[in-house]
Amino acid sequence: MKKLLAFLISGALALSMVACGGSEPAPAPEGGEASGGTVSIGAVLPLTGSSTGEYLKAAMEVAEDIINNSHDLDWDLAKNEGILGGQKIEIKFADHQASAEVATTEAANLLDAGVVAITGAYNSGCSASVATQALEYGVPMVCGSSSSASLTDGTTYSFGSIFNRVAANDAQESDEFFEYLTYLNDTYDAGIKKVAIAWINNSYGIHADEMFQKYAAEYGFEVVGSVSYESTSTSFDTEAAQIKATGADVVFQASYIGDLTLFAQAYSSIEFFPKAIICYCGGFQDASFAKVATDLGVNSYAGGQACTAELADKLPVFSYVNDLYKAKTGQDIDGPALEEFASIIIAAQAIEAAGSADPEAINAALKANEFAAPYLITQKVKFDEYGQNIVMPAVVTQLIDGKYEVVYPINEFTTSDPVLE
Amino acid sequence: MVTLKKHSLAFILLAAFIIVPLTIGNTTDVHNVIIYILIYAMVGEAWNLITGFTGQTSFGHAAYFGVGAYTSTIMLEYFHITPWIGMLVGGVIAVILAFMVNFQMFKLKGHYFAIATLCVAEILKTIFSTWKWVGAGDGIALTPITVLIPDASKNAWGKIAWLSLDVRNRLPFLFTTLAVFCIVFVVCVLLENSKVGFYWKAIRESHEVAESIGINPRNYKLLAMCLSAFIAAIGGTFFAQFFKYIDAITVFPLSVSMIFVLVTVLGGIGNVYGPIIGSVIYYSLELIMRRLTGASGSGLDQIVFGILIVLVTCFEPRGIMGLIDRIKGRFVKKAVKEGEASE
Repeated sequence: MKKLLAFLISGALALSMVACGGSEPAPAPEGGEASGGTVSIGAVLPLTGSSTGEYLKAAMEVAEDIINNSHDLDWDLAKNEGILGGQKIEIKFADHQASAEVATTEAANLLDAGVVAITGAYNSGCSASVATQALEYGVPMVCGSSSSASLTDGTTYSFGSIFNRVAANDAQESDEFFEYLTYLNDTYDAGIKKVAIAWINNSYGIHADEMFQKYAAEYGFEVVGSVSYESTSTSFDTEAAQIKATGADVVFQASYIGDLTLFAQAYSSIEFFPKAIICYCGGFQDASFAKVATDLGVNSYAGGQACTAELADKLPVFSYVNDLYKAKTGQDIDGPALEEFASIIIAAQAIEAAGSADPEAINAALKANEFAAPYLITQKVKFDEYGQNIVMPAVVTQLIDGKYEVVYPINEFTTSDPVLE
Repeated sequence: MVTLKKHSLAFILLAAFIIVPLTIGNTTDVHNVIIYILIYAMVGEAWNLITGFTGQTSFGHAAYFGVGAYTSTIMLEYFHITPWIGMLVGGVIAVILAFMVNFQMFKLKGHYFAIATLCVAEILKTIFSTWKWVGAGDGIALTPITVLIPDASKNAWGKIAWLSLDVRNRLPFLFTTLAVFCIVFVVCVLLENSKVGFYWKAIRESHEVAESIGINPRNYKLLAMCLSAFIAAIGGTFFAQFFKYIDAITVFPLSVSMIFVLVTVLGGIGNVYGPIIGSVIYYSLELIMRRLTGASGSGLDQIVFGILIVLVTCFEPRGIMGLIDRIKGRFVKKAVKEGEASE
């Protein structure tokens, strides 16, 4: 009987080996020779647990379509079919279920399968796990939307040599947000002096709070409250009341879509309407939050975005991408989805620039080149030595009547004046 | 020879864990999965000591697991002390914590004790997620040894780099984890068959009967909990070294405690083979389902796995080992009937 049991266990182990994808690690393509005329790029996303992952995946598939097929756009990457003289790219998706632990094994599986670059992973902790694996393989990572400053600070993690992030980090966002508040005071006599923050207690929230404190002091605003909360909480009435009690003129939020929605409802229920509620990426960028704010009848929410549907007329490539995305998902492309779209595009541009599908050459190309990004307001992306995109990839948008209007900086892309409560 | 025969399953498993990663499973992905299997089986053995053998249900073993993970990580990151020493220190701290907490908590019985254990882990999760010295919600990322110790390749650290439990070369780490798991397994087998093991089982069956034959239930339960905490802390060290990053949400939550419960219950509670069998099945099945359906976003892998757990707990609460015993019993009955018929 023990032999039977041993047989069963060995069978389970062997089956899991099969599930892992065979016995031999697939060698990474070298010198531009990609297997079967395709170049594989990995994407690790939170595909279960929330709808966010599916939207990010759809954005990446739009990028795959633009790279592989000819499109009538004034952009070489879209005009031509494929890269490296006609080779198609193939995105291999994996689901990390918002678990850093699962992200580790899923990334290893993709890397073993021979992907030449890896993308993802939305959640900052999962991006760190994926990058740690990628470092072992010497494969570059292009991270789309994770925003924790620690990912590219060069000290917290050791994967800076292979890591590249499209999204603005908390430091860049904080700088822009306080510049915006100063502009509101100077131009609209808004009288904003006291600021407070509510932040989720994880890597994203902690760094957002750190940067908030730093830049508030730099710009001369008084910090009257800093309230942290746990991701597992299901009600934020107490935290909202704490924030209200501080008497803050403007509240900052470092929250995901679920907690931001609950906070918004709590603020309304206790009739707390600060002059503005400024949000660090996360939940604010989720298109579903526009409906929440509209239902609550508030126009005070603002935050960073890589682009917005209101700019469709001014950015034809963005408009085209948005149409393709909308056809797939039924909604306009939001900030994180656009950044994940960018991650695939940039990986392809780096392969093209390297002239080969060799991960080492791609990594060198990522660090050395500036990439055209006609789908972004900034029009270009450039990474520093630790992988941060140094061309500020976000503008301040405000949710006005359910639309993400660009309110700062003031230039040809500004679509509306700010609305103060 | 008798011992060899008695534990032939253990030797077959050991052979499988050595051969598979060197042959058909020689990929980093497979190595990762086997390391997870071994780490969770190790802590499952720890949980089995207090719940399977002694009958005290703990839903808070993540507390000791997390203490082990944090202690070794802090000692390595902040003081450059090898995780082998950090592991032992973590084990001792976990034992002290287990003693202090459970000395009073063992006055509780049944559900009340289980709920209290859960609270301990949740309290630690909150403390560690706000304690800045240990990284608060940001956690601690382990620095590669070559960065942590300059010129590591030229000094004693570099020459005995495996002492740092550096996982960048997976196979040595896998076999080190396997060796430590074997030690834990042997200790559990010895404990199960020792006088102490019989006392534990007596307490599990009936406090009153145990007391009537001169056993002090509280002392022996404390002993089981302390040993269990020590082993769980060792598992925590391996997890931290393998994962290279820890925070309170990763090591202290209820979901982590439940993995220890699940692998043991699935494999067979109160049986030393239970945690390893449960862990192999849990991770193999989870991986297969995830590979087949995961990237589809359907969540089917989690649904199927949940159904399996419900089926096992409803129809065979003794887990896979119970199922095997039941099948074995039928064969024996059939053989006896055939023997009687032939007579």
